Amino acid sequence: MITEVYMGPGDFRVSMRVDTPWLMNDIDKGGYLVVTPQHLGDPRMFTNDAILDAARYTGIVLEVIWTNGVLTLEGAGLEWILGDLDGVGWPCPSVSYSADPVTDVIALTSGTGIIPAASFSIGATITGGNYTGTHGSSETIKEVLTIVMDQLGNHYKIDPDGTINTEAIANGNVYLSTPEIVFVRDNWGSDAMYTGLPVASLSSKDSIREWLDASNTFYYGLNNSSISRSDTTDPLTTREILGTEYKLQEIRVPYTQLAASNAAVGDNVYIHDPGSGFFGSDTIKFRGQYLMPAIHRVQEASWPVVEGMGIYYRPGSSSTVTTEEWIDLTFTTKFVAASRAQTYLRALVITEGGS
Amino acid sequence: MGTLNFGRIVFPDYSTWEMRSNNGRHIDRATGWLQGATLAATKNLRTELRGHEGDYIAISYDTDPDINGFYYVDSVRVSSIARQASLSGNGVFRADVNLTFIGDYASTQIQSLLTQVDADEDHSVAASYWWAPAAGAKAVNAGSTTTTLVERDGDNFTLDVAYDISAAINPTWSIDPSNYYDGAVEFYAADVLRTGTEMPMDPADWYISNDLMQIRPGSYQVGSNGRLQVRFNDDGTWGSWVTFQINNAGSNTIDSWDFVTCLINTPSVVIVRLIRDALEAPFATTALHQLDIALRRGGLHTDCLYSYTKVNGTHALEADETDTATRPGGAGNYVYLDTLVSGDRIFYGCHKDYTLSGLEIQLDSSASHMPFFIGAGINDNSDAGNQVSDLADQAVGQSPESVRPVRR
Repeated sequence: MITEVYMGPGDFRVSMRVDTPWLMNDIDKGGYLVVTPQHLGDPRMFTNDAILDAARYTGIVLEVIWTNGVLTLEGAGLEWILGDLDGVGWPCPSVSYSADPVTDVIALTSGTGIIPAASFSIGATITGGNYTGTHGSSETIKEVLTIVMDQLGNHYKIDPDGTINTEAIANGNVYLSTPEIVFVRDNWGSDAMYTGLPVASLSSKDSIREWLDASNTFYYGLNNSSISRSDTTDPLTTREILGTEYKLQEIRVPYTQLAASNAAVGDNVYIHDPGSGFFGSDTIKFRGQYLMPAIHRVQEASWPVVEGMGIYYRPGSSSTVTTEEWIDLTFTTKFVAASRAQTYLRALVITEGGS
Repeated sequence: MGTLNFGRIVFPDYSTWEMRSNNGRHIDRATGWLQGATLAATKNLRTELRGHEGDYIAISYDTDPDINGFYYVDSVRVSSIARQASLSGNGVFRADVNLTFIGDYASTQIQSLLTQVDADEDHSVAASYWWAPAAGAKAVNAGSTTTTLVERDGDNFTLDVAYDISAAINPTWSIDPSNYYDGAVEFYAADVLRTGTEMPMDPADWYISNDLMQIRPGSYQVGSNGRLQVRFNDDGTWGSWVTFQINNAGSNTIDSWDFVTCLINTPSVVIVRLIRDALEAPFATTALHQLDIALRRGGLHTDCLYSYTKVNGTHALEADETDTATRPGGAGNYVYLDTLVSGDRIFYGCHKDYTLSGLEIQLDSSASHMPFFIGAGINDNSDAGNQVSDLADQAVGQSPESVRPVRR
């Protein structure tokens, strides 16, 4: 099972279905698991770049587990390398730079690898506010990236070959902003304009559990006067959250229907099920009806490795790796039959300011 | 009784079959007795029915065409019961198949999930990605880029092949369930059409056919002599077989294969693997030899990979014919035989740098493997998409495919 998270590391766990003792010497921690949508064949037929370009997912192997003779690989997505928000990860090289909000897709990496140690820069273009800052080794690259993305109103995506692209959230090139998928509970199927996907379960939750607001304007107590709620350990001058509500959706989709669709993590999708709280303000014509679906961004997707995919291991222990050293795990991996596979998607919308 | 096409299997009239359903005409269970004309034929029915377990198949039944449609085979159980004389006379087995109905012709389209990836090659060839649906497929949707279709007329079918397709497309197409296997790649072992990857262990008794070309081992149905033979079809007429041999390290001709297995058997691709023992006379080697042979639906060439790990060598592929060969421009990824074979221009090539001498193409640098391809321009034609130079570009553009039926 592989879990991808929007701007997060996610994780994966892939097992073999038979004993593979010959892999004991060749599979090591720090290597990479590369999953291609179809099995490409012997990896020696291709270059490193060709396979990574065609890959659906690349993760870094963090644990190699042998249980009763059977190998299991566990790890996380490439973002793990950048670090987390608590200070553990690749220390940011000392840089000071400024950047303006980007209007197009900008690559954050150049050369090979995730981020070259020598430089970490964001391309600059036009309009709006800007960001200027100095960072160093007391922060992980992930922390710096998060601050800059936040200030610019951007998001970023790490491709299976390690390149990182960023764009303004409304741009819609790195991640789809205008949805191409419609989730409905009945009359599902495709259209010339949209791919329809069936949904096994939809639920939305509207919550005020995380809501903070020092100067309350929204809710009232039983005595008709307003209620205050804030984080008293954290002065609101540095981190102010005004009334937070969120809707959380869990969507289970049969894998056969999802396989070639564009429902990737980080993309916006349409969800139409007014009875479960999913309706919006855009009108679309879908399979003969006018719908007003909600738009949500897919935050997380979990999917099993399915028969037909290619599973490869790429060593990570040297600076020169050729495809001669890749290992094709496809014929020994435990797969789920495609027709029984289910993909789990979570979409989340955080509204600040309340509504 | 009628003819029941269950996936690739055609059940003969005298097998009894019950199709059960929980909800009207959507069959979810099929039970019956498998019986063929001889005990061997009955056993083949058992093997081939089991071979479909886990597959998407098309079912069509001329006595009750309302059940025609696309199904997923959940499980297959075949029992052999001695006191019911299962193995006496021409044999009889009890079969029980669980099915999931996916849809019929009106509600279902087929989606081919393609991954276009370039073969690693040294000749700077501009890869031409190509793909073909079943023969007669309609409403093919291959994306927003204009796709060029070329016709290839085979033995029984005419296939429309899309070539120079753009990367990252997953075409959808429609076909009547009773025609789903038209133009499909077929794998025969011991003269039985196989549904799965089970086959008897005889490296000399199998062949792959995609209606346009056929590949078989030499010496077919006699004994393995290490050769590979191909022949091509020109609108209903098969040409003569052309034979090729592999020379390990350029000097030792592989003269027999010991083991054979089928890696993949689907309507869109069949891949067979031949294996040779390391310490076999007349030349003992230090590692196993392996030859993977792939044929795709609609293809006019076969993709092969000869590998011999542990000690690299300058391996070679040689046409085992009396002829001369030409390498266009003295460079490039293919050579062709100077004499037409049954009117067709036979070509073969290798993705890595190689040198042509006589009919042998030999790797320039020692390597553990030699990827090569063999194909033909039918009637030596110069049509775009079907001429030899275009076919050699198509050999570089790989498009591994998974096929799924999806709701229309």
